Amino acid sequence: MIGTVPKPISTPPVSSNWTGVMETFFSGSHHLFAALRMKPTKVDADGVSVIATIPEVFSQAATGNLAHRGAYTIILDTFFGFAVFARLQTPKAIATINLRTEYLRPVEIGERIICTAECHALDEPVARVRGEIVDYDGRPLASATGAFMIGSSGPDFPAFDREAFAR
Amino acid sequence: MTALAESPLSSWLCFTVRETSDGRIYAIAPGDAHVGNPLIKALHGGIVSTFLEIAAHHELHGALPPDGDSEAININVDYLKSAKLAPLFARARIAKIGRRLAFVDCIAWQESEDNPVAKAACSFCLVKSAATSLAGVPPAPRENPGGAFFHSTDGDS
Repeated sequence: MIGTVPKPISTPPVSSNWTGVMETFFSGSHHLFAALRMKPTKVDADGVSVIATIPEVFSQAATGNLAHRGAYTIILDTFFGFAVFARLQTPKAIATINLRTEYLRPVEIGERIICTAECHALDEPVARVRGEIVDYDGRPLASATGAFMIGSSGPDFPAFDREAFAR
Repeated sequence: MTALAESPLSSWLCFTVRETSDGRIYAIAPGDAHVGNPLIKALHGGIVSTFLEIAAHHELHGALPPDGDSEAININVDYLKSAKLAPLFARARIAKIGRRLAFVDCIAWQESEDNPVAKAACSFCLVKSAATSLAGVPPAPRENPGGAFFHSTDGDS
């Protein structure tokens, strides 16, 4: 790619129903996302915000009602991907390249958390995302940065077909 | 660390540990509930990350004294290739155990150990036992729920 002029990123018209698209994807037949009970509150090119619940499956016998911190990485990886979709305004096939998660505070099973993320740098084929998870008192639980590959080998998400969701 | 192996999370992931002459091999047997991309039946990145962290934690505890415990500080996962809906294996290597910190590296693979699907670097803070660990304590209440000006002055009189 050295020496080539980067192509301008085409920006298709913004879907009026992105929040609905995201909600449908999270609560549909997908086991993992259904368990997280994710509810998007904002889906924009400059950032996404999601309310999620720490699922029962993350409980550990040794730590009482506290969840394993892996729950954070699952939630982060999921809504970071959505931050990329929201920035691109199209659900292309993407893949996580890497994810660095800082564990700031433990969280209990069943607790509701607020997740925010923004795709702050887009240099195709790589998108960078940063974000955090806070509790309802605004205390930071985890922060993370991730890099995503756009146009990975998999197919694009037909579930995100705008026309299908406009009906 | 039988408690870890018996936790709801470990059974959800079907997490197992096999002791071999060449060190421990960790494994999970994922199912549909662990898929991140249903179109290509790829495992969710967070599942891979959680597995690697459990493996790192387990390896570390094998090397700590009985009253030793650890608390994860952060984890950095590189996804080298797409992980399929198939058993996932991992090996962990302790890079360093200090007085207060420990660093563990993990590598995960599916068909062949020579063809890794992910690697992770985990940092841990070492603590004396579960009783004194942050993990054993519920999240602390807010320091000044009513704001700094409503702080109790009982001790002043």
